[in-house]
Amino acid sequence: MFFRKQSPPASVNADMATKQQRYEALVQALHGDIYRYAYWLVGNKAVAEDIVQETFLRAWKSLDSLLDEKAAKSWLITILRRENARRFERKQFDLVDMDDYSLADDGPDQDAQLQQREIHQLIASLAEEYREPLMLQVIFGYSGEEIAEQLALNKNTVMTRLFRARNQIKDALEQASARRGRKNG
Amino acid sequence: MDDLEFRRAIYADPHQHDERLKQAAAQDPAKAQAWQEAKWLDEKVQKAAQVAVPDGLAQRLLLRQSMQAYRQQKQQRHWYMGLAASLLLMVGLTFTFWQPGQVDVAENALAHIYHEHKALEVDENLSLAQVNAKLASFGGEFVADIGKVYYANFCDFKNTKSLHMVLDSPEGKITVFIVPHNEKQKLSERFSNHEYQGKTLNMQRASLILVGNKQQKLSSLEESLKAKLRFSA
Repeated sequence: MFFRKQSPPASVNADMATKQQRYEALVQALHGDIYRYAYWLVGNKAVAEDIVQETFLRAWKSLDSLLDEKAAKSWLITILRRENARRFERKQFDLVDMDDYSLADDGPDQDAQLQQREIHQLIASLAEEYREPLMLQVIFGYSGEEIAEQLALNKNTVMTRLFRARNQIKDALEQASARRGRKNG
Repeated sequence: MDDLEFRRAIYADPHQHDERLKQAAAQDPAKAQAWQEAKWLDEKVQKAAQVAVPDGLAQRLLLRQSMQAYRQQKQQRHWYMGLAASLLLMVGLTFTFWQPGQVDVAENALAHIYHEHKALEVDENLSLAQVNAKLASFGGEFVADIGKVYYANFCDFKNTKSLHMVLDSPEGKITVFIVPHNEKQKLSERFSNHEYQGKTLNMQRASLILVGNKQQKLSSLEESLKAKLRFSA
């Protein structure tokens, strides 16, 4: 009876080792994109990292339920979105300002950097319902169908929101350059 | 394809490969230009979206998980240890309080007869002096002849050194045990099983136990031994 009990812990350890490998692979492959997505969801670096930590910890706990490695990305995004929603439940209103993402000053390509900063702020100022599908498309390379599935929306709605997101950025850039033109001219 | 439809499509996904869009762009330079601008814009959006990932984030994620896993394992180990400790405690308690608790002398006597069955078969023809020499270790003595003694030897009654004898009687061979008193003994005056029957006599320093088969009358030997067995004070 005592001897028989010795084999299960050994296989448990083997399972643990495999689980550990899967988890490490998951972290290495996806932590960057998941962090970026979290950043665009909450607009703050520190909060984004917190949510990513919670997301991966939750992923570790239920890693056994992830059977298809191809589904890992959308599985993590689902956990992340739930964690983000939970953050709002915890603290009734936890408004964070979009970070000013600092860029290296006086680079060789200052104009391009300035414009990138401008676009950063424009993305940040998009309504969440436009920003979220746009980031799924841009960061994860999701198709319209995949975004629709992830966000539980219909595909036409998703395509409309993607169009409006880019259109708003384009309009804002044009207005800004028109203003600059007037000032300079 | 009208202008608005075209614009909606290329702004929704500038990198798509829809044939209708390609044809529309090929036929209309303004549309081709708009598409190119949409692609440029998207390149900038792509770039801006790729914010820097904090240094060491992957390592921190792995660290936090390994701490968590370690804690869980430790908790599990605590759980196992707790269970093992309480089992051990239970076993310990059982052995201290129950096992040496009560020794059923009658049951033991019967068990000994089966265990040392050869005692009923041998004839060592021992003298009274030899028997008394053994009895002396209990402070006992037969003061008169007890008849033929086929067998007499020490045996163990659950940690109590006792004397196992087989004596002759008018009823045939009868087994007699002399078991020194011990506070944990359970004595029954009469006992039996399917084959044997027995009697316990509570004497000064020991119990005198007689066991015979069902047909044998034990009383005559009992009276005789009772009269002859003496214990020194």
